[in-house]
Amino acid sequence: MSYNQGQINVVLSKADKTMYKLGSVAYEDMFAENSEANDYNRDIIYIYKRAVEYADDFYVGEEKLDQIVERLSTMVNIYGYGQLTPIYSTSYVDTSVVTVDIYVLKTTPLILDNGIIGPSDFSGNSISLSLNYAYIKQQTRDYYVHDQQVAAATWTVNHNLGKFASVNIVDTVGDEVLADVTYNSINQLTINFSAPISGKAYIN
Amino acid sequence: MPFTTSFTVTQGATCSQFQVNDTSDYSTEGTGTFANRKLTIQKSDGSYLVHNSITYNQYVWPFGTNTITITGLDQDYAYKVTFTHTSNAPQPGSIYTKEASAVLKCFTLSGFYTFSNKMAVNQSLEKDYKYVKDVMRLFIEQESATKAGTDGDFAASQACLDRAKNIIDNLTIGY
Repeated sequence: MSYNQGQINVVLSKADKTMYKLGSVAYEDMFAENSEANDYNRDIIYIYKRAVEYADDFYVGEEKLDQIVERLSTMVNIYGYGQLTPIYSTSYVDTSVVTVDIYVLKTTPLILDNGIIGPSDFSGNSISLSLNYAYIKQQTRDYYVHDQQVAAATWTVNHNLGKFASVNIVDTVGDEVLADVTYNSINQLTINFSAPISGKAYIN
Repeated sequence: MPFTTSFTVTQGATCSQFQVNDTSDYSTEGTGTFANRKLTIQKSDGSYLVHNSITYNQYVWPFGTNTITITGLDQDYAYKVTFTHTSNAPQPGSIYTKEASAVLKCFTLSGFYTFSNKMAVNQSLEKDYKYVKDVMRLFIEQESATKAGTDGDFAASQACLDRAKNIIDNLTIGY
């Protein structure tokens, strides 16, 4: 078999892992019967590994190198410690993964909050919901503040409250001011003063 | 921009030769601004490398080619290589001399490779303690040679390479 550079790198990576694993095995059980043999085999693996590292710069594809790689591969496979996984490796894209459609299995009835209207049965493929505007409006603070920063004798207020709302007017220091109010529509009113004034109008 | 003298020593799979490459950046100071460049290759015993009747002791290396190939090596050597530029208009901050070790290990590593292959083919040699130890020593010697060269101890570096040669010669005869 002729080894290419990628295959050689795999064998070298296995050799690295085998060497440090054998080292730790020999150290932790140094009085074991095979401890010395493990140590000795590690030396031989080291020799083959170094020889391959030297030669793969020049001789990839040549029989002489293949023979060493083959022997090194055989020796590391006896121990079967696998190969090192680099901490920093190149990105790997797995094209074998098939994309599937995502779905949710609903096992309990759907409970809708007060502001939402719709069925509670969520067993179908789709569900139609709508907002409960009456409830939402009920929960909304129903007022409007008009801030008149430039003094004027007439303030036109677009409050959009949808009703003929009551009006309270204050000047810039917070004192209440009396004025004529004209309701132009349920969404707009006009406030008339005897002289230009600035302040705020609270519409409720 | 200051000029920096730079060179490399390379050796491929052919152990009998090596190359000295001038890798200086001449865009910062053109070759025309130098009076010359000189190369010295000194052995560990203090003598100078002689090749093709050229003694590499302050050898004036003509501009034009940036690689010198030395051939005919019969074993590995540890060299001290010194490369100097003589500038006609030296620039502040420039480095005109560089010195580095060149420990050639091709014969040793090639021998290590060959004897490793013999062991891989004839696995009974794995049980031969002396053989395994000698092959291991080859690798240790070349590593030590590099370290000694880096430390500037060329005599020690050459001694490592000589011991490696001795191991290779004896293994060749013995096996």
